[in-house]
Amino acid sequence: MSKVGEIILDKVTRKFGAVAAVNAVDQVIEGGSYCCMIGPSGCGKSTLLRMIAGHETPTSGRILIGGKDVTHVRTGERGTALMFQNYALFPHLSLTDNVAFPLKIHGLGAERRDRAREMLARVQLGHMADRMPSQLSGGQQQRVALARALITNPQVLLLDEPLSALDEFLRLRMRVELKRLQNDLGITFIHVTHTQPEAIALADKVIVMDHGLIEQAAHPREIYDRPHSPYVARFMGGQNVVSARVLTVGDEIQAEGAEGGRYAFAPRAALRAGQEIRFAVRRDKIRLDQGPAGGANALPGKVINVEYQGTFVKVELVTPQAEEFVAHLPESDFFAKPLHFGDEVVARWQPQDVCMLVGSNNSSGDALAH
Amino acid sequence: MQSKLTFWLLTAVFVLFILFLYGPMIAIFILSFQGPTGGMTFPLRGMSLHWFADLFESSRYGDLGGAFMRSIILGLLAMVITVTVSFFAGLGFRRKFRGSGVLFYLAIISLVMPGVLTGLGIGTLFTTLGLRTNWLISGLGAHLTWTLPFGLLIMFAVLNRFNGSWEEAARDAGAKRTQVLTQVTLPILFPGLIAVALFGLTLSYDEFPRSLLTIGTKNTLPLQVASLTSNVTTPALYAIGTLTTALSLLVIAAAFAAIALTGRKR
Repeated sequence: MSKVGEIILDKVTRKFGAVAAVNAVDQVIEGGSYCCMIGPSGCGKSTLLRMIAGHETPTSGRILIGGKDVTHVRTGERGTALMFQNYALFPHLSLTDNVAFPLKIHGLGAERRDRAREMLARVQLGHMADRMPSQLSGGQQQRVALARALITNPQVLLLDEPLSALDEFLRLRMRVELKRLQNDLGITFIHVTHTQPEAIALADKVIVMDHGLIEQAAHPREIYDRPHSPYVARFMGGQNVVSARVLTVGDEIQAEGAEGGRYAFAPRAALRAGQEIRFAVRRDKIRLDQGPAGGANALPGKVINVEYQGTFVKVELVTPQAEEFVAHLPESDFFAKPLHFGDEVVARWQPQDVCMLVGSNNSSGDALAH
Repeated sequence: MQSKLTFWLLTAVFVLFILFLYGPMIAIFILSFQGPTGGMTFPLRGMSLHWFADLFESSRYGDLGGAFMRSIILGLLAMVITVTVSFFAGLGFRRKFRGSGVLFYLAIISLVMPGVLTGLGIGTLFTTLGLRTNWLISGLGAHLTWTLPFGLLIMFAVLNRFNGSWEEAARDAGAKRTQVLTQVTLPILFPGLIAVALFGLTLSYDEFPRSLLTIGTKNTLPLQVASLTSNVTTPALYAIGTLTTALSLLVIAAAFAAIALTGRKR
């Protein structure tokens, strides 16, 4: 990858009064990649995006785009384009003039309207070029906003919750289109969202934020499969978080839950006896049986909810562990031996499915869970 | 049964209200076309434009033309100042700066003050300072105490529906401050500014209590008409009313045309 569209955040901090909305963030976003920033509201993701766009200035730190320090470069001259959450189409201009607006600002003559029409055709709105924004549906307005952002050939496209105002059906369709567009253009996309499946489906890199800090930044599979902290595990979902205390350290870590359960797994981090730990087990790695409790990596519980999900069945348990505990069972397994509300079961998993949560952020992460 | 009765009762009230609102005005229109021998009340003794002609020919109405010109000039000046100041003040008030609340109430308070008192205050101030009251100076100032707060309030209502991210989108496209102002903020707010202008013009054009003690030796139209009511007893008074109303309707039509031409189909 060339340096074009590469973004380097160097100890970027933004304070509002005494509160640091973004706190000394270091990160490199590869040029031409699709990056999703995710976190609950107020985590700093939008502020970070606005600083990259130049609508906010960092209190301290540097921002480099394509190898050039743009920390204090004016918005609109740093090779970025921002697509606003509410699209921010100019109500007094036709679609053509909306899309041609950035060209007009850059001093282009009559040709700008031709280029705007071409761009509108590219987002399948060529036939509506003379309409006013208020005459469009939400999905169409979004395409216009996209066309207006792309008309200046930016190195980096910034998208502020681009899909949140659309209904479920359109959201999924636009998601596909965004990904295809990014593939075609090969430019860097930075997409702020609070929807986990969206981030996982789209991104080459997911940046999970909380309280102005980057909690984990990695490929979506890494984020989903090996969350760094209890917060990431809970916020990204698909995981059960279990608390325990280390008993012995050796070829195998032995730990004991406050409820008396025994847990054993291969050592993946430096641990010492007596240490309080949390680990995660993916919901789809859990098996449920109705035999007697006992053995390592087993947690007794009572079924409190069963939801059929098509390809799997979601079974919710209440266990002696304080947190919710969920198993995703393969459809055929479940219906071979169905479970019902109130059944006593034992949840079991394999030692290799245990993911130690080394990060200390233990917040619930459900500020915006849906 | 009940709802039918309510319907007719409310209809009657509404019709009475409409009659009360427009009846006197219509009566004045009709009576201004009174024949040369007619008086200030019905019945009509023929129809003529006699009293309109009389306005322009006779000298007993004083400097009516001058008063009208002064009212128009004053109205236009008040309008331009009100639009300009309200526009920028409205934009400024979007940011919650220190003391913005106090400043807002200070600007609004002159709406609550009785107009005669405001006028008296300005007149007394001028006398104390040894200055002579004059329609273009103290008069304009007095009118602005009335039109500015109104303009500001309308501007607030207009800005309520203004989305700040339009300006951000313009900046994101590379626009400089003046380009944002002239290509995005101003055109989007234009219909609202027409409303502010209309209010500025009409409030000033028919201002009476604040003008009374601040206008100096030369009258504006409302003051001139008021003084005529005490010594003129012909339908010429009504002719003045008809003429100024026609002018007002023309101004409103022009404003609507301006909005229609620039606003297009939002």
